[in-house]
Amino acid sequence: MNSVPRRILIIDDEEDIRAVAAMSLESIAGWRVELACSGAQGVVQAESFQPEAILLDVMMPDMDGPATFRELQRNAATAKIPVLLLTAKSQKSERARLATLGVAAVLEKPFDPLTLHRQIADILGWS
Amino acid sequence: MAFWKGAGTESKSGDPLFREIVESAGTMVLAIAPDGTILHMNPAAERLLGYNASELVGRKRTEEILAPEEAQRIIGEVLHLVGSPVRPNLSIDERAAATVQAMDMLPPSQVPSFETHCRRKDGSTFPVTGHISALRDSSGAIRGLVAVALDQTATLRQQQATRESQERYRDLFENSNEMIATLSPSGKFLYANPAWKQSFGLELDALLKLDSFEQVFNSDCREDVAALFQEALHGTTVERAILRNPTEDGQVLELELSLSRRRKADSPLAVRCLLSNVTQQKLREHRLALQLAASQIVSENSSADAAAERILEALCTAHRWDFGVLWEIDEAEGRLVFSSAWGTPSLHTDSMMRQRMGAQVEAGNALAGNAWRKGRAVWIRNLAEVQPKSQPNSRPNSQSDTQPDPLIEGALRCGMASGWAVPVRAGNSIVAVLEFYSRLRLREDSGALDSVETVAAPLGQMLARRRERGRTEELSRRQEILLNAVADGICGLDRSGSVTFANPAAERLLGASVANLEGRPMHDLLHPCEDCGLECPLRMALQSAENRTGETTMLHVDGTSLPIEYGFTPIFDHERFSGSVLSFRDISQRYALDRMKDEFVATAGHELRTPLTSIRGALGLLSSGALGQMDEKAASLLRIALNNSERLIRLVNDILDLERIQHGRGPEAFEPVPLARVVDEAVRGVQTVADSAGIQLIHDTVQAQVAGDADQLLQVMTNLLANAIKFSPSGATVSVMMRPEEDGVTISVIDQGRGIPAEMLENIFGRFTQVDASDARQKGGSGLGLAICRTIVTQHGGRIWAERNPVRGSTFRVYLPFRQESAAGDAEPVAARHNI
Repeated sequence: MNSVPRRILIIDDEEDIRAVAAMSLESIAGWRVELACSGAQGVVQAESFQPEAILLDVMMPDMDGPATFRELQRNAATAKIPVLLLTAKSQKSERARLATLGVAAVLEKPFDPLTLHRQIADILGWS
Repeated sequence: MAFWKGAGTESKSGDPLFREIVESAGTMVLAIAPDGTILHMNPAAERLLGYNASELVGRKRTEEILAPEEAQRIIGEVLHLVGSPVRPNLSIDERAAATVQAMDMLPPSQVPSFETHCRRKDGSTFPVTGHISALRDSSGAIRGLVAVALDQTATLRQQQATRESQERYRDLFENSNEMIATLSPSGKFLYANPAWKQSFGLELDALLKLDSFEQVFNSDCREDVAALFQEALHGTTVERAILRNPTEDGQVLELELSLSRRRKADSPLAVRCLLSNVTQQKLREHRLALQLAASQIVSENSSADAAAERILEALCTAHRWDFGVLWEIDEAEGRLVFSSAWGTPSLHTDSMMRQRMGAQVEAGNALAGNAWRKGRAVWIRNLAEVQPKSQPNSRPNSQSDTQPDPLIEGALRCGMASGWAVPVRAGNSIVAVLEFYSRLRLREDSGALDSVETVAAPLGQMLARRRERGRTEELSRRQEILLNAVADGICGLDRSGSVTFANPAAERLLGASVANLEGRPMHDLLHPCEDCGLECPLRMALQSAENRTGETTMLHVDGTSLPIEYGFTPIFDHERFSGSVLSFRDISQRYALDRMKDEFVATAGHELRTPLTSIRGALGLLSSGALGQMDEKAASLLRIALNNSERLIRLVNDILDLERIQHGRGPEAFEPVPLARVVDEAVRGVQTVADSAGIQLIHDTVQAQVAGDADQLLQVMTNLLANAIKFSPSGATVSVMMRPEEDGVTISVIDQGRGIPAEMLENIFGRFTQVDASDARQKGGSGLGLAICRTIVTQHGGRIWAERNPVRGSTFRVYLPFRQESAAGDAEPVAARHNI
């Protein structure tokens, strides 16, 4: 495990999910987590926080996950940050469509808080 | 001859004139001596007896010229005249002497005559009338006998002929079927043959006592008979005048009367009467005439009602019946309904007709109903007798057979006395009933019924044809209603696929009238741009002679495109392809519904999973102890909450999976799937769970590839393996076997668990069905896993089933075909074809 804690930005409009995910990554993995409650806030926060990865909810009001991702891509300061989409949609076709956006992965809700950090690390090749 | 000559010298025999008379006489004359010797025979005797005189004269051959026994009989008769006894066994001489002696005793005036037969030389005999007289000399002493015989052959023949003629005439008269009589100028019977008794039931004595022969007739025709008699009496011969004579026993005799006057010089004035009963003959004539008339009426009248009325009129007129009705059978209602009627114009039968027009007759009721129920003619000679008296206070629910029949009552009011009804058949079934009435009390007349049945045959055929035509029209009308009402477009196509018929829905969907659609190729109507290519499934379907179904997009005339589902059905006439029917329906609404459903499933899934994510996450974190340790009870409760939140997640996932799979477009997503890889992956996926449960997993794979959805097939194998692990005891083995077959592959998942009761082997594939109700709680299953498996396997054209192992546990087998049966262009969901 890296001695420097990983920095993760969680963007989700659901406060409970933000709290559970944050607690999972902070408590289990010891990562540093910042939270954003909307896409717009997440875009701002990503630029300032410069996380190593972003957990981005798909369905959000105003600016949804794909729109937020596109916004992040447009900004050179955030374009290279890997984004993992979190979706509660179960359709394979939907997940396949999201995967084509260029994100690092599409994770399913509900996730296992005990293994979430391992999932992220595996996907991003963090040893 | 000496005697004859001798005698002649002393008597007239010597007279030449006398001799010439004797010799030239036509009668046979023989002179016989007292000893029986023939003294002389004249030429007539020679001719009649066939002898020359030289053969008989001078010989005692008198008895030889008589028929056997005749000589003795004649001698006996002669002896009897003088009272001498006849002594048997006398010799010829003695018999001759006795005869001469007897003749001698007779006074000269008595000449015995006798009828006898003479015998010719050839032995044949002939009748004669003979006379014997004594030949005496001048002293009066008897010198012999003279026999004179007259040949009676011609006379007897004449008498016999006269006798026979008389017998023939007697026989003819006595046995004649025609009534023959001789009537006096006053009309009294002088002679009547037995045929009168046969027709009128009166003996000859009774007839002879009548004042006038017209009294034998019914009062209806006496006047006519009397007038005819007077005509004959005054010299006008009456030739076969027709009389209709009703008898007391209810018959109507048809008679032909001939009368002629007889006046001869030696006979008093009399009238010959010849009366023939021509009833049967007339009936036959009537029947033929009616049959002909009925056939003509049926062929001339396109309307069955008009024809029926004319047939009724023909029948009634021919038989002098007064009223006729045709009742038709209403099969749907099971009763008779009025069809048409005819009544004698002078009888005012309007009320009978009106009454019947509104009537409906149940089987067994009234005359017609009875004939219908019994299937044969019914005849009531006296309508008044069968009609019970009306009971003013009778209850309305009393049985019908105790109630007066209103139709019969109406007939009685119109003066009808008898009635009968005859079923009208077409083939073996009764289609109508003919009913007739008469003012006369007519008894059952089989001849008349025969004639009705003869006429009823063409009528029945006509009614049956009308009924059949009605049925055809009704069927056609219903088909038209159905075709007009149905929302699907239906087009009839000829063998080349061009439109021959289109229902209104087809017109609406295609945006053109039938006139504009007829003759145009069906494919070009649906795909007008023709850029669909030669491989267009619709084009191929329309060119085939097989049942095809599919979905396509058609272009409406307004330029909009429309998804349609179509069904193509070829028509074979005598096994020859004669055309087809294409039905098609707008499925844009179904598409919209599918989209709405997809959206709902997605939204519902999201909305359910979001709170579950928080719950599951929070509980997971708490129970992991990462946030701090808690006491055992709290930890236990947390585990319960966590387990159930996970169960809820599985349930939501399974429900959404099932919905998605069942309504998915399975075949479109199919691609080659190596099954061994699917099995390997599934085993790897459950390995951790198996390890924790102490279950050993064994799998044996072969290379086999099917067309399908790899993820869905992985889900099937994962579900089956997870179930096998879940229900196996620790230390057991779960095996996966693959067995390739000719047209597919079977994968078996074999466990050593508690097994499945035989009655549950099929049920477990239902939704929310588990072997044990507590399994859902204890094993954490949703009860949808096997339902999902069956849906997926069936969508792949395969089968899934469970078996009980011989010793322990169960085996789940999945058969997947290498190639699915669905046609390339068949977009219909596989699940729908297999009735999932």
